[in-house]
Amino acid sequence: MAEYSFASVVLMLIKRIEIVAMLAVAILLLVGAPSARAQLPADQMTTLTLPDPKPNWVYIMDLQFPVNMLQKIWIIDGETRKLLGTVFGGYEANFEISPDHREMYMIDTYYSRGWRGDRTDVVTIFDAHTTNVLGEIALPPKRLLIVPKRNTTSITPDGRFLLVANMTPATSVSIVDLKGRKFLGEIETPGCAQVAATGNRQFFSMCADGSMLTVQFDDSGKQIAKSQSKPLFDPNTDPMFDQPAVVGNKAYFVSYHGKVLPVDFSGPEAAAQPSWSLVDDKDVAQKWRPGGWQTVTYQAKSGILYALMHQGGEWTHKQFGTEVWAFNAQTHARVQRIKLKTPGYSIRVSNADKPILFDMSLLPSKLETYSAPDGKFLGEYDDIGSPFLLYGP
Amino acid sequence: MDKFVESLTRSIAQRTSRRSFLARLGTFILGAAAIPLLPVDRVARAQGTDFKKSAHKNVNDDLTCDYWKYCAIDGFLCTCCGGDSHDCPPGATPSPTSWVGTCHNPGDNRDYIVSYRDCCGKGACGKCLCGNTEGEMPIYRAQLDSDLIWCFGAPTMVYHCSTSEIVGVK
Repeated sequence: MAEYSFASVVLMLIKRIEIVAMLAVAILLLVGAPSARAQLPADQMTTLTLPDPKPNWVYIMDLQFPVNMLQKIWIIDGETRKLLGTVFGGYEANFEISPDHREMYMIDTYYSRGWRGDRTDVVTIFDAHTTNVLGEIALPPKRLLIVPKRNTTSITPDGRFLLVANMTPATSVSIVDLKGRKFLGEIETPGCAQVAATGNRQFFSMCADGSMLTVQFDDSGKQIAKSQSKPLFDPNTDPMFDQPAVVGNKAYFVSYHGKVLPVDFSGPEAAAQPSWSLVDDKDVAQKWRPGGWQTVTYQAKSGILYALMHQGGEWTHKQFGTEVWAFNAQTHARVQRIKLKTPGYSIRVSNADKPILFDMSLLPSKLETYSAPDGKFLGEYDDIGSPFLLYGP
Repeated sequence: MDKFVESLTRSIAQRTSRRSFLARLGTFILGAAAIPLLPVDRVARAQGTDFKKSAHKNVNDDLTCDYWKYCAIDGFLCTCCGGDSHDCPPGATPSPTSWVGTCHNPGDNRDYIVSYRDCCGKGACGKCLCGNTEGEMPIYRAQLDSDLIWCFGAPTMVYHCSTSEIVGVK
């Protein structure tokens, strides 16, 4: 390594100061000199804000892998494939958008010294237009810490309550009053995990034996009814993925082997509807099955269910999907097979008039957009960190 | 099977002095007791899985994802992080809780019950990421879920790396 004497360092500094001074004089002369061309006005620096969300926007949860202590949401316009802004969160974060699109929420865990110290679990409330922090609500430090999945938190359709799944490893659900900005209490859900709102004062959890727990609560966050169904599927032979497509008070579950189980949550107890299959005998022979992370998505306007499919054997349930298959959820007919340019890990279909099917790949880090009705490739957006989940407004 | 749970519980009891944590774990096991079969049985039963057909046949190199004992490991291998296949790297704490699986050892042609114990309390190691999924189940079967941060009872819930500890022969 070269060593510099004090004198030589001083000389170098003087030379640099001279150069900077000359440049400054040159700039002043240029600015002050009369020019034949109209000069540009001086810039005025501001901070932009987001417009109201559009149906084809997509919010992507980036784990910031491998050090996922400060996760991130990318907000992208699916039509222009332009990055509009970002929102930051903490460890194993969950994200929600208020139904009126005025607020966004990060549900996070933080340690006081980054990776060590005291644990804090908190809901951070963001203004959906400025992305500024409006406030926060402290939670009991017992959130379900898992690689982010949908249905780890959920918002009631009226936007009043945020539901947060806990695991210590005893399971419960924290009820947060978003209007009153306070944590109200917990409802125990023994033997059942996760949470998905299926009504303004109702949620369900999936249970270890394949049953569903339906819980109703009041405005004070207290449980008023709880009912566990009989097992609706057999996890020993064909487990259902734990991220179903939840639409209103109905959920479409998809199994490792490609069975679809629609469940009606409109009543006090979950009721299974007739199940059907994504795969026929020929597909089974070719080893087609669903897989990935967010494997299934439902388009309410068209009644089409989309599933991320791959060819693989047993226990390939996290394999990237090479195709997306679309089914009429009423007739169960397959209406489309979309070959993906890049195998996807998560998919989501928007509920726009011209809906976009988002295909997100983890490796490489990429978002692809397809026209949902005809499967036409529209474009892509690269370098979105380590993306796992897709949300929509 | 009950013996396995008993020994697991006992080993947890030996490794932690946190009574409140044990109370919570008790609730968890109580909740799980409502289901007819215990976790390891379920792994074996799922689809009549033949673990002899496992893609994880490597018996020599525990620095790679295809090492037999890692058949459902999900995360950074502690062997690449200054630890060993069943030891934490310096400064990381073995989690007193874990999820379990069954892996076939082609070396002796036996199926072993393995406990996927995370090392906790330090930031993510970041080396040798594996995403193996044999017998891996969704979160409602938490004992068989690999995506969960298995640091319950450790000083912090911060995940560092993953190990695979032989618990016994199936």
